[in-house]
Amino acid sequence: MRALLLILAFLSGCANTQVADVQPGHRSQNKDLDEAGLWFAMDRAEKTVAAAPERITDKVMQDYLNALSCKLAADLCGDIRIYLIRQPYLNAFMAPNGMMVIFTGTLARTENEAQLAFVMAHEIGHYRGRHSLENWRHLKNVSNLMTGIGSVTAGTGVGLVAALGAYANLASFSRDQEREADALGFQSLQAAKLDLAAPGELWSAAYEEEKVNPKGFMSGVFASHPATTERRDRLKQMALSNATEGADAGAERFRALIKPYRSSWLADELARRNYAQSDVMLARLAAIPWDLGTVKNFQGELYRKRAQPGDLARAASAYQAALREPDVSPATFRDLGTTLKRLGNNAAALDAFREYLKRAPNANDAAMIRSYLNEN
Amino acid sequence: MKIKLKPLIFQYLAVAALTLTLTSCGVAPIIEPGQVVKVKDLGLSSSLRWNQFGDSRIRLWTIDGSMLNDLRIFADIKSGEHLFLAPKGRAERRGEGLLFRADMSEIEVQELFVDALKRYDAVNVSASGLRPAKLGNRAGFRFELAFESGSGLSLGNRGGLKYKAMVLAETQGSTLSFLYFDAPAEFYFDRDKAAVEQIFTTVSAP
Amino acid sequence: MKQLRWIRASTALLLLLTLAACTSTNNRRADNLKADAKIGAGKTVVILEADVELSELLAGGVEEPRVAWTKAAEANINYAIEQDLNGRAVKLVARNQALSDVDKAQLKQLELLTQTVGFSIVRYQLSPYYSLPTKKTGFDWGVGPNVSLMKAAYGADYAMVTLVRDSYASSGRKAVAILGVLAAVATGVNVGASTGQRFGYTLLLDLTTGKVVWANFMASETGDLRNVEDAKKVVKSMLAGLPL
Repeated sequence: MRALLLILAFLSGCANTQVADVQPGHRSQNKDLDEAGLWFAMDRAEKTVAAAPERITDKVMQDYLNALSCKLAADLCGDIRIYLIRQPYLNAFMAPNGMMVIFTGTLARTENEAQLAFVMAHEIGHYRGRHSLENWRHLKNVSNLMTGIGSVTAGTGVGLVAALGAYANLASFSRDQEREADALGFQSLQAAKLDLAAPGELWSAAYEEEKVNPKGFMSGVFASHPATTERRDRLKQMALSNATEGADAGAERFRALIKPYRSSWLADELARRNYAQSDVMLARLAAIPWDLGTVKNFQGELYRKRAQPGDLARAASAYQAALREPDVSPATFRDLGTTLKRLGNNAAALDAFREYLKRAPNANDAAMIRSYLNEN
Repeated sequence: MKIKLKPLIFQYLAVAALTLTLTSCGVAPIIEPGQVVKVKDLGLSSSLRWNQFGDSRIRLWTIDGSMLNDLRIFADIKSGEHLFLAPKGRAERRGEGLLFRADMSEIEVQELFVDALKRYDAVNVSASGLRPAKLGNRAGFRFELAFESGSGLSLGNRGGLKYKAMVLAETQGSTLSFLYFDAPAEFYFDRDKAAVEQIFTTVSAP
Repeated sequence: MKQLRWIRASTALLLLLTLAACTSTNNRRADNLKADAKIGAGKTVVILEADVELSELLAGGVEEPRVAWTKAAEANINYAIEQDLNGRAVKLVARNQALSDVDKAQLKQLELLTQTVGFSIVRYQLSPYYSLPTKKTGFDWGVGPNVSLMKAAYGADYAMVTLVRDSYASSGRKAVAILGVLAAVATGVNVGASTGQRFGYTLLLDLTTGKVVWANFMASETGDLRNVEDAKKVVKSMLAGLPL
């Protein structure tokens, strides 16, 4: 994924490369030479994506995403295929052949179905407007060393990142294209009777995360869809001018969907070890009254890992807060124990370790924890 | 993927330089069976024949190339250094990222390995079997890892090849020393597991 | 750990040194095979994968994936391989698979392992610059006893794996393209379609013993894979030393 961020020089297009919107079933129609090449390359890339170990293939999840996409895509429903990829970033993109890739970091951040739907509908907007083809034609007009589709051909069949990274070359959409995709996305949400406040909320949250990202560091909010104040404000304004009666955010069904994955996705987020962003993200999730046992546990994890002055005490508080929530994970006891041990509070640490072993006697690290208890 | 030429070429050159350094820092290129090798104050020998690369603090041993078997020996990583003594990236320079810290518990060192593998594009990484163990005369710990090669940077395949790994580590005296071995789960790990286990149990460390 | 960059640079160096020759091949056969032994009589071989890719490097540095070219090259290469094999004692069979889901997962691991072994052979033994010291002599590579699953899946005695990367560039682009592939390979992401160079590897796997009986690495600049006659020549160099 690192390679994705070594993104191209900015493309300043010149020639007029506007193309007409795509028609349903476009695949079966004759295509100009360059579009055919693009589809060919992306079809090959799609084979790699479909078989990638990063892909989440669970049927319940796949059915949900397929159904949501279909609802949003309307007449284009049959042309779009969704792939959920395990990567801890808020991003999704649509390849010119109808393949949509969504990263698990997106579902870790969206609070409800409406927010996820906007991300998907926005991508479908790029597909409908054939923005990638426009960009590809741009590219060919610009003399730009080592940019372009070569990576698409070479990338196909060589690696997910190569394929996706190649696509990122095409995904540097112009501001007009982004606006168009946002507008189309909005229309889809409206038609699906989903809450129109969602886009503004999501992009607000993204902006807050982006703000704290240290300079030059890989952001959790991907560069191809910059989280700007302009976009956030525009999306908020669009919500205000388009209020819909009876719109639904779909929070409950979304939460049921992601509950089984949350711990592993939040662990992936903290594995990035970019604590500034994770901190903002977790703080926002902690403000939502759902699954707080998990969220507060991971707040504890963040402090424990970051280990700056005062963090161990913060971690202990966060774990203890997590333990007061209804759904308690045994691992919280273990991590509290580790933290208390480092704070020098041995007696309490041992109590926590004992509780961990009581609840998870066959845990992966039980032997190590037992040795702590035996030492004392 | 097509990448900006200028920065990448510098990166490539730096990487190439690093490779050459890694290969030519006065370490024997071949380790014969029974030959004793010193890495700082760790002493190792094996019943197999290995290729060796590295320097005074890091060794890489391989029989068939690191995609098929990869034994790494790291001696005395200090608090604040990168787990694999790689050049510090932006995260590490801010005190985050993959830095070892001397106050890490065994669980946290294991976690650091998991995060490092995720960072280097291993997928579906899991750790198991964390338990006390001796590294030479030092009180240390062992654990196993499992992962799949990621699609992104797999040169040899399209990703999804399952790997197994075993680690022996110790953090006595505020530095971390460890032995790490990985190989594809299909055939290769089991082929050399006993020989590596023997290296683990016979390593000398005062 | 597989992706630590300082190891990846070796492949870049590998390509750097193969680019010097016009066409060069480097093939080896398993230790227990005599130099001119032919082991194909009465046996069958399946082509596990002929992975071919062609692109064009345009004037501005942009590569255009060429559907027709790639398909033509693929067809030519497959045809040329078939023709070549049909002239030998071995019989070419089509792949067939009717396995349970559980077996399919392990078969996938074996196929991935075979590809990894292929790349390891190229990088750590056949590479003119960066071969492992212990690999200067001898040739002993395999995928292990679970190869029996591959044999059941493919219904053949041998499997051939082939990979070719190729592109066509104007002369002014070549230098830049070469740097590009080196850079890309250093990150391990792209395997060389952008050089205006061709390279490929082929290996033959014995599905009874699990051993690689032969492997070849080819780099060349001449010929056009879209052309049947040229493809035949390229395939001839790809199959140099094939013991069938």
